[in-house]
Amino acid sequence: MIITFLDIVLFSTYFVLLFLTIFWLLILFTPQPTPTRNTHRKPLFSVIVPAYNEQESIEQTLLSITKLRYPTNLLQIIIVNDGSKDQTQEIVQTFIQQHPQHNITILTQSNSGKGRALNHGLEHATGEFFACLDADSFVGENALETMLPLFEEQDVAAVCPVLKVRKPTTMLEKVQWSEYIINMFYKFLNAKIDCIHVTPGPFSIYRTALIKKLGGFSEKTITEDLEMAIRLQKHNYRILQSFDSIVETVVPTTWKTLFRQRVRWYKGSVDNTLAYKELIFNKKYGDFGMIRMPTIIASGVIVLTLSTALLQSFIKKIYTSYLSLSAVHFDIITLLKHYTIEFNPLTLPFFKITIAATVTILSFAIMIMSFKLIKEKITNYGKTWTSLFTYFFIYGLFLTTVWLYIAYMFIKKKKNFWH
Amino acid sequence: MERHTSTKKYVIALLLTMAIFGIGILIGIFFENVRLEHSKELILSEKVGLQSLQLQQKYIDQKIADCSTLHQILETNIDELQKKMAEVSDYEKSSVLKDSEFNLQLQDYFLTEIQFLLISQEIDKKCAQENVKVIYFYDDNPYDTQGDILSYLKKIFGSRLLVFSLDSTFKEEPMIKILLTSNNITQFPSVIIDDQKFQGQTSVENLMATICNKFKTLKGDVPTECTMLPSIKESKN
Repeated sequence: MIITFLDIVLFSTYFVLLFLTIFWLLILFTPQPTPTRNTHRKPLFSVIVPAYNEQESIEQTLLSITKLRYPTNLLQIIIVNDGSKDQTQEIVQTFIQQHPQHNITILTQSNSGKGRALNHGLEHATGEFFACLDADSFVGENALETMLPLFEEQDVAAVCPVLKVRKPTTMLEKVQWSEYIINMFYKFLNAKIDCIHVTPGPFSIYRTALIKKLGGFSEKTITEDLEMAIRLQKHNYRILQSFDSIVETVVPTTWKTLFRQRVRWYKGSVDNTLAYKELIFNKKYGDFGMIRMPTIIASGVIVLTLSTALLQSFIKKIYTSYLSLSAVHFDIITLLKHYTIEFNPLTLPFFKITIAATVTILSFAIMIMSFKLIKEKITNYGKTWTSLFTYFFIYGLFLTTVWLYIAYMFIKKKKNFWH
Repeated sequence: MERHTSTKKYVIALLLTMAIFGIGILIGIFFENVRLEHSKELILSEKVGLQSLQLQQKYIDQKIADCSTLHQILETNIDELQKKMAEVSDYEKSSVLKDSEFNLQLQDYFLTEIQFLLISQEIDKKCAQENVKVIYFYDDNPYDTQGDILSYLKKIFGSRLLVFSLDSTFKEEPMIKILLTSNNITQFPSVIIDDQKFQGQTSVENLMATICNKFKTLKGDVPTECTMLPSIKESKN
């Protein structure tokens, strides 16, 4: 048997993917104790909204905060204008004037990044708990009612909401809508074994004193939500996932802006994972160290290795086809005239097909379960088949280019970027 | 928070993964056996054709066997044999446990092909030659395009061009080495058209010109594609 480099890569990738899929399915069927909830306490709560050039959406964001079902006198809203060059400042000031019953403060600073903005807001936060809300995200009215009770146990440092894409209309938004839902499913699984590795910017709630004690948000990374989650895990605090509270967020509407966002996210995750490399495969951190941290890096390595092997094989096929056609002076007409379809099903690679089919079926099952968990229908918002096709076949290629670019950034020692 | 490691689940996941891989391997082995049986059936039909040809050609002198029928049988069998050999060669490349059995099958195919070549030469002595025979020796160079050129010429000339392709790296069959030595072949790819030998990569124009010149000497019309070649046009004029 001739074993090529592509075969070795494919077999290894299939093995790892199948292993991880089966592992997470086993976690899925593991009963989980219900977290303790205290629905009676209503402590003082702060919301920090870092904003940089958010004139399009910040008013709606602030409106959603004011609609939270929570006593107004216990709610503090802090907007940190991170050196915006548009009308953000004016819009917020107008909003404050229009809502005198709410405790809203605007802080300004020169453009210093989200981490600095969050810390600036944190310095002024008086709530026992606080949340960050990105200025392009919108929190559901019941968020505090459903998330705050989960802080009953003292080792709970953060609670994350369900993140959804706000009213997807374009095909690209619909693809991300599906992606967010499937990611929520993985968060559900990760939460079961204390493996949440990111506390997303939109309305993750934290214990104020604890975050201050840990030094606030990192100002060195532009994925401070990832860094904070790993830091909390390192200190053996729990991060819980709430599935009763929904935060909607605006997503990139062009492939270019999506590309930049994903480069930022994935590079950030790798940078932060490497910054905390002592946790990788460290039994002291339980499943978080043994499986979560390694898979952050492994996913990028798998994508890069697989894409390199496939690309090498593809280029070789193209080259040999080119040589064959060139040998007959590209007389495609003669070749097409005498073309016969000769398909022998016995030549199919049955071993590879079996494994690929297993992984595909499991992936579809996970997708269906994801939608069920988040109580969404695949047919919501239309463009179902186009977006599903794009998500399964084209989006993967897109994310591969993201990882390839990240590999290039590592080689060239390029820094992560915001815009 | 007290940390937990789901060791039991890792082990179960690993075992289940290995089980699914094992099932995949078993399915692969099952189909390997099916391929082996299939290739045995394929060669059987070719061998039957060969035996029939061998017997029929003995009756050419007595004018009981018909030359054009024999040519037709030969052409059909050679065309089929080439396709089947390519299939068996693919099977052999992807085999895991039945490597030696597939090699035996390939050996059988090559021997059958050589016997067809020899019998075609016998038929040519007794009947007017109607087709051009090309013997093609190749090696394991993945960038060799000689086979593609011959396939292209085969598409143009159809059953009037018979291609006998032999793998020079197939050590299991000594007859291939004998043919290489007897024809003094030292370079690959090599093509022999009657007594004309081309060692190393040969262009489609050179091969087509040689084949077309050969057609001029055979029974039957020169294919129209040949009349497009300058040398043929000149000789017609």
